[in-house]
Amino acid sequence: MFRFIVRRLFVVIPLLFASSILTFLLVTNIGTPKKIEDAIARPNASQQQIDSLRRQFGIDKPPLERYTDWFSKFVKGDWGTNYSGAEIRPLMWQRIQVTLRLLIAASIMSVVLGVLVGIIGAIRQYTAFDYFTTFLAFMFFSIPAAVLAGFLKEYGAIKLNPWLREPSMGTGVTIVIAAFGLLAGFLIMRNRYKYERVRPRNRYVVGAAAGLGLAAGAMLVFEMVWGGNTYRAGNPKPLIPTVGQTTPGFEGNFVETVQDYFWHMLLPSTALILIGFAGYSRYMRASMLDVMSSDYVRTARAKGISEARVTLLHGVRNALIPLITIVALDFGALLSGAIITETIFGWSGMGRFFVEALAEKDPRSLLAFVMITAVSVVVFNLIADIIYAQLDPRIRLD
Amino acid sequence: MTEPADSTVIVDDREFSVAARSQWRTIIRRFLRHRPAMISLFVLTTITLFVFIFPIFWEWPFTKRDKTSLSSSPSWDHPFGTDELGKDGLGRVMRGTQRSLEIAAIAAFLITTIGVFLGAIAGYFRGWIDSILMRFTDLVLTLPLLVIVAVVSVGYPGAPWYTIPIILGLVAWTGLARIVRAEFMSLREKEFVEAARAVGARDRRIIFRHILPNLAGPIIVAATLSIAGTIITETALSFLGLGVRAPDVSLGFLIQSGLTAFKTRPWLFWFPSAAIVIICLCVNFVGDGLRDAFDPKQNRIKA
Amino acid sequence: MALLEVKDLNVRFPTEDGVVHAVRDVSFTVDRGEVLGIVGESGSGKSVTNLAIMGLLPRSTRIDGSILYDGEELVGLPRKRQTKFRGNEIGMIFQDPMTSLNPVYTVGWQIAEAVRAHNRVSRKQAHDRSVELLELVGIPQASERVHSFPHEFSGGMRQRVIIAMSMANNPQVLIADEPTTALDVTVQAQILETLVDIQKKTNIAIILITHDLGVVAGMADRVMVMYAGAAVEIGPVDDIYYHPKMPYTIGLLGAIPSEASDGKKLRQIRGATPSLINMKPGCPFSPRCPLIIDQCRTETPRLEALDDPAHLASCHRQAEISSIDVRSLFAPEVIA
Repeated sequence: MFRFIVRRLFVVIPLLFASSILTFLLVTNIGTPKKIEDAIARPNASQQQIDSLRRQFGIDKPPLERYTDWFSKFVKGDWGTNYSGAEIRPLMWQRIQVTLRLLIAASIMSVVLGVLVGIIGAIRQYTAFDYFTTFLAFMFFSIPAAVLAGFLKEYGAIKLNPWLREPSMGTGVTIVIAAFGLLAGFLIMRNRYKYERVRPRNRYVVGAAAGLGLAAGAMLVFEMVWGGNTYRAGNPKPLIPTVGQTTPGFEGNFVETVQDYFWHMLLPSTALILIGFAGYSRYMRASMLDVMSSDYVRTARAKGISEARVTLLHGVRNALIPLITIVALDFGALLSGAIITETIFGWSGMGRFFVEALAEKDPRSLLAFVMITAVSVVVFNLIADIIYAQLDPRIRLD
Repeated sequence: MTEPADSTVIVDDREFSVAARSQWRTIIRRFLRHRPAMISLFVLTTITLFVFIFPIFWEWPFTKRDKTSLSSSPSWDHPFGTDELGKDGLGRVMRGTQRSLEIAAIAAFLITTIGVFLGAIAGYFRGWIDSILMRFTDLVLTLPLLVIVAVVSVGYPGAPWYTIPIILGLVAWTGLARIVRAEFMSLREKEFVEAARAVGARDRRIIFRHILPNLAGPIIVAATLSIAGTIITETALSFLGLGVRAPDVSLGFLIQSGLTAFKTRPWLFWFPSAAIVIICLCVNFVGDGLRDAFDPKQNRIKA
Repeated sequence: MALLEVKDLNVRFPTEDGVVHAVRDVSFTVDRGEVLGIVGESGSGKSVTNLAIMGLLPRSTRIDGSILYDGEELVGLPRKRQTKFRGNEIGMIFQDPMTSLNPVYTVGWQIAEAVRAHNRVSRKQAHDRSVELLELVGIPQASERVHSFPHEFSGGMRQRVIIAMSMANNPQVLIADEPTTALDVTVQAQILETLVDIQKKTNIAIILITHDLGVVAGMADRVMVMYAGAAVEIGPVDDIYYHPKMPYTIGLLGAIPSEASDGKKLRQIRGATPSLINMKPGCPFSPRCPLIIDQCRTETPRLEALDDPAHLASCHRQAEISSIDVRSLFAPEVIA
């Protein structure tokens, strides 16, 4: 393992070095920082002021010198100051923590959800569940993050919060939910076989009844526990917040702080989770289908072990392996999603940092951001390779 | 070769009771069977024709202001409403769709061309060419797509709309290149390549006439899916203010401006959003249908 | 009573082109300790028949008829009950050893899994049994190699591991579906020797499926020839080889190159196997048969014995066949 990492470092370090050059080329291309542009546009701008600004931003020197200057400082930990004079490194560190919360929660949930749905879709192929989740996956694949986040903000919070204040189930809603439960239960048990020898009609009835029962139970629980209540004894703040990652000036014990984090994180992470789940479920489904029709699964069945064991220990175990690589490589897409979601929900994270740096055309901030992103991508790839080797004995690290 | 007088009938209709089909016919037939894909294709074609042809007849082009109905919700005069300057929603959405489709088409073309080209060269010639290209691909991959495109776009504030798909095309080809490379590496070992070489075919001919046609499937699928991906990326770019700039519109631009006006004029957000979702959904279904059609391992027998 | 009795087995698959009638009215028996060879071309239904015995066919398949194992009916059993037999009483090994083992688990683990699926034993006991089984099939240094992964074995060794795995619970019947087709000739011989060895040691019944007549001649007691989903001839191995009664069998045997055919054109059976969808009445071999008469086109011949009850053939003209030098009918000089 150790030797593996060392060997990979021989590849990784030159790559990061080349990446820094690419980053630098990209960033120097953006032109003059906004502050300087504004200064030039002002009528009483003096050349002296402009020159000092340029020195401040570090763009007065020729490119090669700028690069070596920046790079040598960067690797030592000195990332310079941004357009408003704040030190970049501590600022970014703060922002990273915020974004990391979002990214980790979204990653885990979308993978778990996607894997589960993918597995079930594969072993119950062509059933109503499969078609439905496939459609959902396609849907969320086709919605831009901005649209989804905007939608959630409006209907997940702004319209929902008043209802949450005084929740109740109107008769119309009750009927709809009951019908939905009935239909869902029925459809899930209904399969499109041909030539099924034994046609279990009672299976549909059982399924429908179970669905109805579940829906009824949920409604009952809701009525008992929540109905007519205003939460937090009349607290006027909205239950599902739409702005920021924490309530400003919030003081509470650990549980309350976690709750606060949770409610603030709910909507933005849901947006990312839904989009991530779409991709992972499709991929897992395809991988499962592939694996379940393989020769070694046939051998496993021939051994006479239970179908559940075959599916889990032979099927899922092998189907998960390629997924690891996908999840790790997806970090870039996840970050892009976070950029948008953070902006819409007003989080002060890396996404906001990037957007601001872009708007201000601040070279040092952008350099820091892009380099950190590149390093993260490379690190995640490395982790993915290690995990992959652990899971697949054919790839051993030596 | 003479048939003896009492020879039996060797071939009779019992042997081939199922008609033989050529490969392409099978693929096309499988595609036509895929209902979601067919419906999506129909919807997509209808939308495309509509947004390119209807504006000729529609009295409200995307820049014309109707001073009599500012910020009006959907009505008979303005089915998609108007914005605060009186510009017609339907006209703008149609124009935006035009632009977005054009951007997607150009980007998909570039991505496919570059990806296939680089992947083929890397996979076929291997050796140092492959190493260099792969390192280059890794380098491009260290940065998320959005980040690269955003940073590049910032440097050209006044650039015309077609620079967007060009930049995207120059950066987003990595996935396809990897797939093509992998396929080339495995196919070049096959006997038909050896046979072609033995007959004296040159590398270029082998690549284009022998190996590449085998990849038609994955390439077509990837090209189709990259259309949807491009539309979504362009939306994200517009969100950062780096997409198509005013006075030109794209769907992403409309969504972004619609978001800011959401509280008071939600229709300015919903209609372009619906357009994007419908288009992407259809493109994805068509891509899925194509993938199913090309994949010989598919069988619809439930296990 | 025979150990395994298959009667009027019919297997149908729904496909987009129609219903594939893969196995048609197949009947045969297997006694304890005997080796039955099933011979046929690709698509003759030999694999599907045996997958039906094991219960490994997709759920959408329609299976009619009867399969009696030691008196118990296997057709129509719910899947949970099927696992009682699978891997326990009836074992099966498959064609391609390179892909038939799960790459992520050790060989020992996979064999132990087979043991523990049917017996309540501790992990250690299952592990010991794995080592024992590896030794049985001739894997050297079994106690160390039990911890190896499949990719660390060669093709022939993998096939032996698979054989070991199938023997884990001392089944009474082992179905070997083309176990040597994917292997080199020398390795082939080793595998077959291993099978013979096991058969002698445990007196297990073996159903050996193959398209290689040479392999069958060496190992089988009885042979069943299949064509287009039906059994067209069954009998003791010597009878089949020296006194075949069905033109297809004769054609098959005649197609084997030998010293006698040295220098001459190879004999072949002209034409191709029929499609299994929408089969017409009559003998399925008739388009290619040199002995065809009108009855062959309209009436499907039944599998029946003439004078020797152990040798059945499915041909309207089987009574005449022994008196004609049928082999010459397939000679290229006649049909050229």
